[in-house]
Amino acid sequence: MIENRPFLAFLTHLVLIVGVVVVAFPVYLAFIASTHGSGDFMRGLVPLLPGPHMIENYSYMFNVGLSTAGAPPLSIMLLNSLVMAISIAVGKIIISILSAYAIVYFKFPFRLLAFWTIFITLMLPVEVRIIPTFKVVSDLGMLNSYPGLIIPLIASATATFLFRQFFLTVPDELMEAARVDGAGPLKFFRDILLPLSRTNIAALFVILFIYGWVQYLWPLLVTTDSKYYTVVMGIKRLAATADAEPQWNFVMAAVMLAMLPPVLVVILMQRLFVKGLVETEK
Amino acid sequence: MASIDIKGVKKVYSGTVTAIHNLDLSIPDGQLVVLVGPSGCGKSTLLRMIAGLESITDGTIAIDGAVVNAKEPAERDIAMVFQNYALYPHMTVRGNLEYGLKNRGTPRDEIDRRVAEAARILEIEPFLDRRPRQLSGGQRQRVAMGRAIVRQPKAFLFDEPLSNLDAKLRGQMRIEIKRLQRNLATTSVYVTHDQLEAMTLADQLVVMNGGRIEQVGAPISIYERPETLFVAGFIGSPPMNLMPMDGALGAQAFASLDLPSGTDVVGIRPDSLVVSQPQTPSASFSGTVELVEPVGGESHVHMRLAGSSDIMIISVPGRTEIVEGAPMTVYAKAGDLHPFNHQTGKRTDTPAANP
Amino acid sequence: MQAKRTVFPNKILPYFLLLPQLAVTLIFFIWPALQAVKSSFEREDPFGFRTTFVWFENYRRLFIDPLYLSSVGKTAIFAFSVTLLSMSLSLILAVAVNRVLRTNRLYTTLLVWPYAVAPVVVGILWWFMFNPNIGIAPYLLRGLGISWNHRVDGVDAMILVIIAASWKQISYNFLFFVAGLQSVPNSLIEAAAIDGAGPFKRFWTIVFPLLAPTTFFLLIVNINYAMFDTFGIIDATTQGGPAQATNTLVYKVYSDGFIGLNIGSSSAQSVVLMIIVIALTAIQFRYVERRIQY
Repeated sequence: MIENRPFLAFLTHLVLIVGVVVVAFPVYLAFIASTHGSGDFMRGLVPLLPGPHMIENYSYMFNVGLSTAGAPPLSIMLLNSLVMAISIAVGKIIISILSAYAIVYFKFPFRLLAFWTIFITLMLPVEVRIIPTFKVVSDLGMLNSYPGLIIPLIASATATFLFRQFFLTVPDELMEAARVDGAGPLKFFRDILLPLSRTNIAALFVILFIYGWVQYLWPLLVTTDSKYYTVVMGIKRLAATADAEPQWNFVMAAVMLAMLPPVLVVILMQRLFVKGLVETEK
Repeated sequence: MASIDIKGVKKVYSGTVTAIHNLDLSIPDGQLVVLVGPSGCGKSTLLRMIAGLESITDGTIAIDGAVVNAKEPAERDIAMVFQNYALYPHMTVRGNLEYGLKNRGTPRDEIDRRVAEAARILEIEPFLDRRPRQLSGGQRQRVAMGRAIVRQPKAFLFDEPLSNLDAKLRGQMRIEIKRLQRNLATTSVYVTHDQLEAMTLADQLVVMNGGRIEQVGAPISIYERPETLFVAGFIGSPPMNLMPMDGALGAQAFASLDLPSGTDVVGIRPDSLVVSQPQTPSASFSGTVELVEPVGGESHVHMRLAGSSDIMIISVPGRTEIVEGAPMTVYAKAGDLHPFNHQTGKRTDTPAANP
Repeated sequence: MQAKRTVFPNKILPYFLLLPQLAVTLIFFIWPALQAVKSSFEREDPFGFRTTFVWFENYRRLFIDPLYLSSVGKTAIFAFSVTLLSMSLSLILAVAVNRVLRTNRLYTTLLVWPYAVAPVVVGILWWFMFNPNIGIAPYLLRGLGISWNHRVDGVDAMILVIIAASWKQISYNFLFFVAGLQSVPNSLIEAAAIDGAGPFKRFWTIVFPLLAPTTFFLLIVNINYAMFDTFGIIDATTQGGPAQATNTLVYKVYSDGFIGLNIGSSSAQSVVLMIIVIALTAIQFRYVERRIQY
């Protein structure tokens, strides 16, 4: 910045620190709650400092879970979430990169129609077609299964657009040189385009992993068997009972465990995360 | 090695825009042929049709006697050097050189031998394990050439390969390409918009304009005897002065000369104009010096013709005493004049054009 | 539409490449959407034996249903408040981060992670903070003489979902504002400084106008977010209550259709929502085209 004004610098840091605290406070409270015993939530105010029961709360939730809430141990739900998030991310990336490749590097009848068909998925979030989509999945016998959790969510217009946008910036001459060098379409895709897309794939994976992890409505609809509960929807069931029977320590331990994987991904892969987020929205 | 024969080739885009009109051209075995012309003249399109990167609307292209119209680029046994080099950014230099050979199933030891040889010829041995982005523009250019050489193709196709380099490097690489082509004696087609590059490189120069060939010939013969007004204006720097004959000025300047009938434009190269009147019949022009551009070994004098808004450029050797604002008279020998008709766009002293 | 200057000559291969994407799209997106449109024109008898085609009857009933109209109003208040609150806080934070040099990355990391928190979890976190029995917020408010109970007070409930939804969206808006601020050329700011504009004046006269494309883009995205992506937050905190006070359009589609099993009305509501998404997407993409020329 141009001026050197100590007051302005102070104000800047103050704003940021207040921002960071406000953003972190709800999670801090949750963490504190997850370290106490059940009895600590009877009094008038939640505890504000850590308690001694952290390890036992977490291990209890991880290994046993609250059977009263009809939810399995967190370990199972975390595994389901992991399978779902990774499969959705990988699935979206594969089918989108193939579609984008077809649309950019080939000319064929109905190319425009294909593009618009993919585009339309942007306008049909699951929230607006809940019942008929549920019916399709149910008719296909995909309720209470991994494919039912995953496949209906793997169409992706944004990922297709990101790859299309990226392919358009790859110099035409690269494909021409590869053709002169004797590479056919599949060889060019594998040897040249895929390696060049590595960063985009990684960035997209981060975003899509989070997308898959935080899904709530869809798992809520298609799973009734607790074997297939994902952690995000399982937590809701825990919380629903927590109010009547205040086991906030367990609920919050579960909340912390459910948040941790995607938050870690964001923090550890911040550069890719920012790139993925900003570029998919173009 | 092979000849390339282009017969009646046409390129029409989306049914309406004609980029190439019925073009015929024979490229003899082992020659370096340069296609030159302004942007949009169809030179790149023609090259890309030879490469197989553009479809051919009509006519045939034959390489080494075999028509290749329906063949994929890879099946035509040609190699191409692109303007932006088109090196595979994620592969090392060695990977780039090898890729085409691997795709063809060349045996490993043969690949190694050819890569080593190309690297030696182009002096890129120290960079073989680097990535393209770690190289300078000139080095990338060499790698692009290397990728073409290792293939030992029937023909090299160059698409403005030097235009991304700075002026000094461009001059240097021009010489190298010429030397390399001489040594390998591989048929080469070279596209450029830079007429100096075209003149210095070409065995045969092909001047194109508006999707047609204007003139084919050795560079110097084209310079000395441009067949059309377009070629006259395009080849040569500074460009040829093209003086219209209509009006008092033209009549007066060329009065004493016996120009072919139908001549209405006369072209004079800037270096054909002299300040002292020659003994032989000559045309003379008077005016005022408007600008003097010293370019080193010679100077370009811009003279505004008296009673006209036309500017004439005169190339004079060395530094000149001529000062801006001074009156000036220059002369051109009758033999140095290039008579044209602007309607046909052709020379008027060619037997065919002047029966 | 744009493709490469030269393309591969294969005619069949591209269809195979597109097949998985198109299959998923047709089976799980377009077909169900068409079903929703179809059943929005139908009415089932109470036992589910017969459906009759009723033209626009479902829509007509919808638009005279006071509960639906109230939901439209609640959704508008919710979307507007979330957008305004979240975007203004994010802009302040983004401007601040853009001013610091060394600690820039650290602050960014500490501010962006809520993006990865699932909406339901966000709901639970804030529900816990505002829990009328033990939550810290009602406790502090009591100290100020304000009594808080979002279980009975509709306004309290609305405030709770607005705060929770805004909190979650700060990280997203923040990142886009930072990207927007970084694309403002430094030379412009320096020129304004030489012209005698102080930091605040520079912001309002130079930086903020140049941020307009980002701001507009975020406006659309935030409205979209507040309308469609906050299902989990509402489900975890208020479940549309009390007395429909936080029953947004998306939540209502779910509760009427999936819980209440009123398929005709729920489908008509879905179609109305589809039209809203289509409009928002169209606006967003028109704007993207404009930004390319910008």
